[in-house]
Amino acid sequence: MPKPKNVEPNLVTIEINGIPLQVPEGELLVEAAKRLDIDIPIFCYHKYMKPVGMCRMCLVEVGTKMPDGTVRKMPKPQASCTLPCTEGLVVWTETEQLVKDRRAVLEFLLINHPLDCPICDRGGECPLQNNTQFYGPSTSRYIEIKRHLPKAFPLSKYVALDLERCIQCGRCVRFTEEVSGDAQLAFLFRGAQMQPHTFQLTEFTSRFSGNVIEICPVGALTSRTYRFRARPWDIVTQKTICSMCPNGCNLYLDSRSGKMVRINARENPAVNETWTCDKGKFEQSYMHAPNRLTQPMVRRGKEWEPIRWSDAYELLLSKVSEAQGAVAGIAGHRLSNEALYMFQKLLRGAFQTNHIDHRLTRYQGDLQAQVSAKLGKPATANEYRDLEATSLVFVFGSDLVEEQPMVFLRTRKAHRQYGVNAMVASPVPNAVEEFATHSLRYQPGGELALIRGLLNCLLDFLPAERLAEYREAEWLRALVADATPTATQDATGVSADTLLAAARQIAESPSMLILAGEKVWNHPNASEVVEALVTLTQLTGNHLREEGGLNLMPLGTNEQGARDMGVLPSHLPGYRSVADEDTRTAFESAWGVSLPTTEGLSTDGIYQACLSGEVRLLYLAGANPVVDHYDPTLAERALRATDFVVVQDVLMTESAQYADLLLPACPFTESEGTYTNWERRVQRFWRAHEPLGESKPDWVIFADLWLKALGKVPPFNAREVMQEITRLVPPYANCTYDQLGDQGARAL
Amino acid sequence: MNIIRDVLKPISKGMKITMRHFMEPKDTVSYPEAHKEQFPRTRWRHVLLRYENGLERCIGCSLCAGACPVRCILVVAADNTDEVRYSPGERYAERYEINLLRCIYCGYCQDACPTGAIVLREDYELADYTRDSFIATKEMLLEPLPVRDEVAQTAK
Repeated sequence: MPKPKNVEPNLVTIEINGIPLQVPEGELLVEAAKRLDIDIPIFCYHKYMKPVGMCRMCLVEVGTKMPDGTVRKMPKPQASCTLPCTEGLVVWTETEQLVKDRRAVLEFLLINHPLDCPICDRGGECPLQNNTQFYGPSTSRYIEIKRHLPKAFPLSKYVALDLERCIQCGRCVRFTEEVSGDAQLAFLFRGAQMQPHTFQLTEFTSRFSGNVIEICPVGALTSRTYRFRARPWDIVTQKTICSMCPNGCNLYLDSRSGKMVRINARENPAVNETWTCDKGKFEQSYMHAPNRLTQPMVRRGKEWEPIRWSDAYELLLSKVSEAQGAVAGIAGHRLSNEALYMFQKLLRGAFQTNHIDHRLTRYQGDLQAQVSAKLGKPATANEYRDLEATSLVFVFGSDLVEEQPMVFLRTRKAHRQYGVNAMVASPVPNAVEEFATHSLRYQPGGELALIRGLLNCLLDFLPAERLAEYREAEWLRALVADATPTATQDATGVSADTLLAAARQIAESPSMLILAGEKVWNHPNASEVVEALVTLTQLTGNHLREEGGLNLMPLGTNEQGARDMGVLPSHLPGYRSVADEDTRTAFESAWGVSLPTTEGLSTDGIYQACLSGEVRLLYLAGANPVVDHYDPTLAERALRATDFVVVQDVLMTESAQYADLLLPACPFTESEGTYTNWERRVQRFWRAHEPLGESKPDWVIFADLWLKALGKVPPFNAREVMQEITRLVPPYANCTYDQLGDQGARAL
Repeated sequence: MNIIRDVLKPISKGMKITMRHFMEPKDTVSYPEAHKEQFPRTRWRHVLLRYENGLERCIGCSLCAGACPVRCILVVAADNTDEVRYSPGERYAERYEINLLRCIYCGYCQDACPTGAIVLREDYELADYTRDSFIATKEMLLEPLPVRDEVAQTAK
């Protein structure tokens, strides 16, 4: 059964150490104790995994209240991690018996532990160390020789395994079975020889392998990238948001002497629980890349010449006035909401152009008109919780594990834990297939034909009431009449039986959540595919359900933010049309400038205009179209043809090679701001390091230019920019920094 | 005024003490030519010790840095390999620096050290002219390699 959303749990009354407490029925005792800040030592228990009671560390004494008021005590202590709370449960966590028991458990666990804490990366933040300190014996009676096993065995590119230190809690094994789902780790041998390892001692290739490092309660699994680089007391920790994909995982960034040494997950039950993917955990080190830009530079022939910031601004502004409105700007997906907002404000208000875009995919249509207006919901309708509440997740044209790792993980959890069905349509092997009920492996480019085939079948399978509600069923029937299962089989390579079975499942599912990905965005007729997906959602009525709906998943880190902040040729922030008189007046009076009235060009239009000379100045802010654009040659030709190209970026990117003026920007670790993830959750990140060299946060550069161009007072800090956004962009009205806090908030 | 009682007697008494101490061995030494012997547990500049086989005792665990109340120690650790081995075990200190200007010579680092690698010894002549020269690097702190018997033999 899918997990229902927003349900009030049944409360029961229990008593811990004489303190009465109300908790949801069935909550595990170890969790209930946390509500009273009572410490129960644990090793094998993990909040987001099933309890197993393997380590016996969390023992408590329990009893039940009898109807006559007396308490009947159980003869032996119980493991609190496997004990659900029931009415009248009485618990003691600090009795003399328990002190002895815990000491005995720890002495037993330490028998084979090498106690090489001084050189262990876990030393200082190790649950075994801490529990021994608080509950363990100060000496051991064990004088025999300890077991000896290989040290620092390289399990994968990222993970090293030290078997001597392992206490066989099984967290890592359970993680790969329950959470990441690849079941790559298992216990080999039994008894004292038991060791977690990959089957056949092969490489540990999970995409989520980094998590086992964090959940290991000893130093048995350690990071190879962090190995010996710092100790916990050397580290300065800062809260941040992952900048690698639009999933918006909450992270801790640990730095030593101003350099990032490792990344850990930060708990956010609504987003990443406590997990990260390996890309975000290990591959996010571009802020220390050797090709960082550290000062503004101008091109003199083939050479770069460093200049001062003020000269760079003056040069840029003089070129803008020379270009006389033939200016265009493309913003990248790594920019924060504040930077994106200031970017479009600068280009619209100061440079008087609507040629602004952020999209580098083939689809450059009007999502607002095509999706939101029809479905009454934004282009990403759902949130993480809905993955568990819906009954069917349809992954369409998305390599989910690559594009949206955390969505993949949560979908998998929904399937394993709550029996949510999954279905996948993809032209290439897809990780979702492993647990999907149906896999529609179509020929490349067959997206449209496949949806038409599904619609055709659905018109037969859906109940009559549903079709009556849809109203346009007859029109649709005529439209997809030729897309019979056999015709679809010929067109897409998906067998008619599979198609029928898939359509039947869609028809029978009480709700369906569609996750559409890269294959849709880059389809030659992307617009039609989007249209077809909208029709599919409407036909099945999922746009009316809270836990169902269509999600056109953004691909870039803050692509959702760029959409919301109006980095679009046709829309001002908050998806309000530039042609709309009232909207324009509102922004004009708020910004104190007049705004251009005509719609601008989209990315491809901008490139064409660059080639034809209609755009003479191109401002690339954090965008790298020479690599990221779906047609890199077009982007490259456009950059070559443009008179003056300004590139503002963190690194010396491929596109920066074509620049006439380079402005060094800060990565997210060196500035403050917010990112909006796919579910439109706005989350803050904080400054962890000082800006490198002369680089500046993106929004500061735009604010400086705003000041120089118009002489108007720019916002003073990122908080002020967000305040302006909350005032002017209705969906972000609840997103001031104070309201966002640590865990973020969904835009309205 | 009685000249004997009030003048000569005290003078002679004082002179007697002077003469007595004149005969005793002297406490002062003619520094800098001569140095005074230090107490065995005196705490002056740090020394990084070695084992008898020449391996460094320091394993780069950074516990000294953690214990240091003024945070004057920097340890950067690295991996030992079988080819290049500095210390027993997996880890050694690639960099080990102490800011002697900041150090208060409390000896907590010595207490914290799990291998007895860092000790505070009797070298008290620490004055210098530049601030940079007060950063004691690993090379400066490390005990010189013991000259092995066979090496000494071949040298002869």
